[in-house]
Amino acid sequence: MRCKKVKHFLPLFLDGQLGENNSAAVKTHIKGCLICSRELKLLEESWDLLGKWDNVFPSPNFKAVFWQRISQEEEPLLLRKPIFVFPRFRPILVPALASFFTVLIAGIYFAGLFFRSDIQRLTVMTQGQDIQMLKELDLAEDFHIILNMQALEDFEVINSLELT
Amino acid sequence: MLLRKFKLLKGSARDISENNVCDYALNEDVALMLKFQQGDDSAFERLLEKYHEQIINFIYRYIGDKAEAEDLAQNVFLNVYRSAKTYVPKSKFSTWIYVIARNMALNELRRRRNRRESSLEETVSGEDGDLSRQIADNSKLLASGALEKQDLINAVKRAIDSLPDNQKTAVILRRYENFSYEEIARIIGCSVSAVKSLLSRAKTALKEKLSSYSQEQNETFL
Repeated sequence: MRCKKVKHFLPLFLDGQLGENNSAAVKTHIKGCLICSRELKLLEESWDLLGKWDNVFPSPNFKAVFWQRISQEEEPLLLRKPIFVFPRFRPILVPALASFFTVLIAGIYFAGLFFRSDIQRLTVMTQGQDIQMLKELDLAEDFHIILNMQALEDFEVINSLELT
Repeated sequence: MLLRKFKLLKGSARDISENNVCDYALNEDVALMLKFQQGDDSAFERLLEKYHEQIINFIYRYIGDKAEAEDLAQNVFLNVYRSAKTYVPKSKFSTWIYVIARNMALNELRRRRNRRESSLEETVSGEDGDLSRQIADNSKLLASGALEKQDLINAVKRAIDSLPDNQKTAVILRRYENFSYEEIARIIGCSVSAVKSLLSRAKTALKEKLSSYSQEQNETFL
């Protein structure tokens, strides 16, 4: 194996990441090559030097500060809890819901119109029947006295009693 | 035919991911995280206890400032706390938390670089003055041995700082956190062979930068 290739392999060799065959070849080469063995030593030493940079110790209140931050974050959320949250719809439902509500509102409107006209017709019919009935009884001139059917019925009962 | 192939691939991928979820669910840290997901705060307390020192030191190697490293570590744990509800054990917990820490550290480094670039002239003159004053002050305070050690530590810091981001991450994870190549690959998001290449180049660069200190060491030892 040539020096150039060995130099390329040295960092992996140092970390034990080289395959068996290559590792054996590098070992053999290093034994006979001063330059490559020096290169390996320098690599090893510089890697060891990184260990001089010691770890730092965390502040004793690190965890306390963390839990304090958590409680500070949670408090406003609890205070700001909404009374009513409008339900979220999936975008695909929006046209369907819009058409449903349009049909519903239109339905209510037309149903209202239909029932109102029916009631008016019934009232008119009732009044027409009353007049006819009163005319038949020869009481048309006293129509303003008879305000409802109940009074008319009472009158009919009295009349029938008189007849008997 | 192609569609069938795609479906098969999709199915096998799903199987793999489901198997992974099962594998990682047996992991102790993942179990703690799942307990916390169900509302057990003491489980998170244990994770915080276990990882806070490692995460602070990991970020410290990027930033070089303990107070800021602690502040960023706080943000890392806040991030983990907030995303607990959506947590799915697709990987080891340590891998997950280191990915978050790495992203935060790199974002901070980028922010600093941008700030430094925008006020380059100002800082160059200012830093020089500060540095010379600091050295003068240090020389008064520290004994020669301690000063030499501090000098060496500064050289190590500068050497690591000069590496590209991915090489820096690989070096920190390998040298200081003793992570395997596979774990480093998962954290960085690349292949194992890419990690091998990153570490090879980083080691060569570090050797170039620290060789003078190694030789000095050799001479003192001899």
